[in-house]
Amino acid sequence: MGPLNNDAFNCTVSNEMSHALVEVSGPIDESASFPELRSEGHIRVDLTNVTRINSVGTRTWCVWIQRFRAPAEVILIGCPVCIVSVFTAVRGVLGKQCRVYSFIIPFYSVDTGESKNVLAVWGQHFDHSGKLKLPPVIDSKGVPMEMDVIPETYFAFLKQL
Amino acid sequence: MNKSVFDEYYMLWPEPSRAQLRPLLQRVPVLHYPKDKKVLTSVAANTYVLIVENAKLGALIDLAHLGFNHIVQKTREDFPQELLAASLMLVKPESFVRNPIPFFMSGFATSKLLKDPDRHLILRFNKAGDKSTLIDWVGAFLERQSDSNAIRDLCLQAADEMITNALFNAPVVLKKKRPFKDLDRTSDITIPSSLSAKLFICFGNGRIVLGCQDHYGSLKKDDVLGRLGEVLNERDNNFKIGSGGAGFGMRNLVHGAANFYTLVKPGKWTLIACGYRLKGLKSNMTAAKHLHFSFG
Repeated sequence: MGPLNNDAFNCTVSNEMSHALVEVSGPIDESASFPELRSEGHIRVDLTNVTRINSVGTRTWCVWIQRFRAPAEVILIGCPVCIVSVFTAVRGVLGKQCRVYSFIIPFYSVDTGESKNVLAVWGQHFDHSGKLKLPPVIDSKGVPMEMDVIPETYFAFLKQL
Repeated sequence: MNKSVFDEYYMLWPEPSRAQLRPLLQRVPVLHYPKDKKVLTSVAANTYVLIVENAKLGALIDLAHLGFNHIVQKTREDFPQELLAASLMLVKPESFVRNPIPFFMSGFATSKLLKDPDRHLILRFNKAGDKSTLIDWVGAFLERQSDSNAIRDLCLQAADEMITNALFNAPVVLKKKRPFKDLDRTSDITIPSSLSAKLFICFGNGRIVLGCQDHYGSLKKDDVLGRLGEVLNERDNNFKIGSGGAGFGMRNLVHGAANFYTLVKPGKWTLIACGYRLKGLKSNMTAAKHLHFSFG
């Protein structure tokens, strides 16, 4: 008997009042294919349910995201850890027209081994200054948890916004 | 005269194990960095285990370029295990590859680990179309290990890169041509079942080891070290991803893991593995990394 879940790439587009909403889920890998959209339009890309991105998927993403030109604005929503990690590591992942509206920060408790993901949102937790303002994140024993990233690299993209 | 692993570190193992380990560990000479820095260029580096303290990753790659195949971090909590694994990789690489799991996990353990399905998983594969099923299996295995939550996605990403590498980059045919290397990664390729690759994952002793072994042995040391050197020398946000994502997968494997192993018998087999501590993502990324680049 095989495992129950079958994680597959999916991408849907819906047209809202003033923008297109692209919802991406599953792994961004060799099966990933992004929609043809007007390269100067306003687009929201919801990445909340992306599970991972591999090297082939990273390349596909870069090709797609770099197609957008001014005055287009691509708003990235709910960027998971795997996506934020490549913002800084790979040139072109965060295209010139991209703005990050929200992204995940992982936390870890050395005491309990618990992990938690916290969604950082533009205007509430971060802004143009690149500084983060987060409420304390605590584990089940009430002990503050630590960010489970290397801040210098994970948050480096904030300076590009 | 060179000292052996046994001469220098016999005290790491309890008395009953020492006699058993002595024949192996006495055959493995050891050097230290930075203490033995002056002699590192005048020895047959590939015959040594190099024990390192307080060196940055870039310096470790330089040491690998000098020919040191097994670079073990003295400050790590798993130093004894790693020293054993490195010694075995040097002296008996075939036996290591035949069944690497006990050596990665507990150093010459009995078959107890291999009889426990909750602690290890071995998957054989030869078709690109099976990749998502393989990753689902790995995901299901990791879900049974509650300690692995923080690194689950990292492991799945590594499995993804390893499977793709084993199917598209590793296979070689006559004249050392790589028939699948430049194919679109959506191609549903199949390699002969007799040359099926093996993905393995094992859990225990505060860590997870994920690895993949193919039967081509085509990975080149210069390619691996060259790629890692490029990655390490690039500044942030400066890594250019190549065709098919070349290079980025390797970068991710090393960057995310606390231990990294490449063991190659040219023309016979390649084994790539990553060791992850069960202490979150940062613990792995910032760990003093054990590195193995054996291309004997």
